[in-house]
Amino acid sequence: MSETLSATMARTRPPTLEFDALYRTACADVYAYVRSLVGDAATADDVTAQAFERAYRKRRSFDARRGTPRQWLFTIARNASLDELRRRKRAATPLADAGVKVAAPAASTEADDRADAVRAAIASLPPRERDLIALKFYAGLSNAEIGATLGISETNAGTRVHRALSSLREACS
Amino acid sequence: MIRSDQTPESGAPLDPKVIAELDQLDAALRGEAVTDEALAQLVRDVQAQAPEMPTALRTQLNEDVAAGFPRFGKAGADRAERRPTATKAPRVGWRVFGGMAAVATVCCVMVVGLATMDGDDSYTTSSESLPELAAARPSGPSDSASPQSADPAAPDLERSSRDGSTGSGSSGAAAPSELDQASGALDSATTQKLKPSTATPASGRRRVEQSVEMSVRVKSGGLDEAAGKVGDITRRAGGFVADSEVSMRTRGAGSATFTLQVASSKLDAAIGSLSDLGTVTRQDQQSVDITSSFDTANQRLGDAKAVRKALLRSLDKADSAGAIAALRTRIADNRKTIAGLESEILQLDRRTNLTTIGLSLNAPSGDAPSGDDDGRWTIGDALGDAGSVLGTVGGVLIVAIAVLLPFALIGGLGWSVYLVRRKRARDGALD
Repeated sequence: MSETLSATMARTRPPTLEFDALYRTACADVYAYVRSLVGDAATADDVTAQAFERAYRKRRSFDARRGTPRQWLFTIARNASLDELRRRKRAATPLADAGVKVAAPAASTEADDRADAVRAAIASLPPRERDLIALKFYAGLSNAEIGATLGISETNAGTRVHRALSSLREACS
Repeated sequence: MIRSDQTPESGAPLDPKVIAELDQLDAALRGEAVTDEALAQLVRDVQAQAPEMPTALRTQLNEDVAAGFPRFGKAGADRAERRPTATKAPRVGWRVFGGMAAVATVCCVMVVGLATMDGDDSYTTSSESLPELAAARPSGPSDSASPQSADPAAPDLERSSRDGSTGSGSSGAAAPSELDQASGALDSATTQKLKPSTATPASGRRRVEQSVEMSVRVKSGGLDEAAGKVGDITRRAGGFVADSEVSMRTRGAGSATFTLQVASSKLDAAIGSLSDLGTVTRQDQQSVDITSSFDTANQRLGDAKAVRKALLRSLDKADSAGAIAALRTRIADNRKTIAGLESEILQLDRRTNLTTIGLSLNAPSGDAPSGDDDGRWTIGDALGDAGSVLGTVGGVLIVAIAVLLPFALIGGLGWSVYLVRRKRARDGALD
């Protein structure tokens, strides 16, 4: 086989997914995102583990031409979360109810007040906007990646993210 | 199919101010300095609200990832165990399916190819005598050359002719000497009566039943004309068409089969005329010697008639009512035996006088070489056969696709509907 042909085949062959590296860089973000959707900690644990298990099982079907590994992983996590929500027939628990924060000190500070305000503002958002906020702030996805995750265009995703951001800023003010 | 809910502006380009704000957001998320300090602070505050991953979960996931998810809970362990085979099984299944499909295709091509080829162009003539045929194939009583097997009553008659008695009658009317004389006298009479169809062993004439199988390749488009000539040839040969079936295909191709009955005396002429219809690709002629069957039947008929004559004499001399009644019964039985033997002889006679010809006419398509060649299988024939086979296979594939396409479309539509419904159901979980 000639070198040219080998190089051509190497270029056309989709890159393999480095699952370990993806896991190391994204596991905390996946958990944060999942918990923001499903609410309680126990369910978030299960769904996070399930999401990584699904991703591991489907790692050979990953196609780099259809998106980044991170977007692919968060799509799986989002589907797992929504499936869990459907199964449990309940709406997502407000992000502010996650309850993972340490107890606030007795003496309230300005930072604590701001944190409470932000938590309340996030909790007041509709679930779809909370989903977008989580994808943007916790998953760190670009608008294009969010669009691919939600099955919408990048422009549409940008519009929705901007709207959710505006709602959040308004709720915080 | 994707729902563009709450996004009337989805098709329009974003406002530059929106784009700028989104750029600022992305920069703040990356930890870069932005001019909108409020946005930067909001990003920091929201990120600070991110739920932290429990250490136990992280430890467990680290182990799972390192080990390839052998655990994943109780159910997960099972899933993990099944997983390699579950992911490989479809591939193996597809391999097996592909192999079976390939084998089936090859078999189809071979079958179609063999069915398409018009014989092997061999010209064989075989002639089998009665002993070989009797050993090689099951045959009727008259073919078996067994004098006793043709008629259940024959042993009785044979015995009665030797014993001078046709049964156990106590009349004793017919003396052996009388029966012998009667037999001799009636033998010649029977021979005279059945003269056209009999050939006694004394005459030395052979009785041969013949049958011929022929395959003739006619030129493309000439099947109709050839089929019409078959009837004329048969009539000229003193026979008739017992059965015929003509099948026309496209581009002048077609096939026809005939069952002909011709006079044996004109068989050679008939075969010659049929051969002129095209190229004889196969001819199989069989001859069965039934002389012994014929002679045996004649012999038994003569004996039966002699017995009848003796019985009639005995009837003339009988004086008691019981003897007369017994003799009449035996005469009636004898009459049935004679009628059966005469019918058997006529049947044998017909079999020797008429010959059955199984004729097969084949006309290739217009693209294939005509039948006017030298009978050898050439490269051209091979190419023609290959083209015909490919054409047939292509036709079969087209039919298969036509049959399967609606199912595939329905399946694809159903799968699409399932995906859309699942997506909507997932999106609906956030409402």
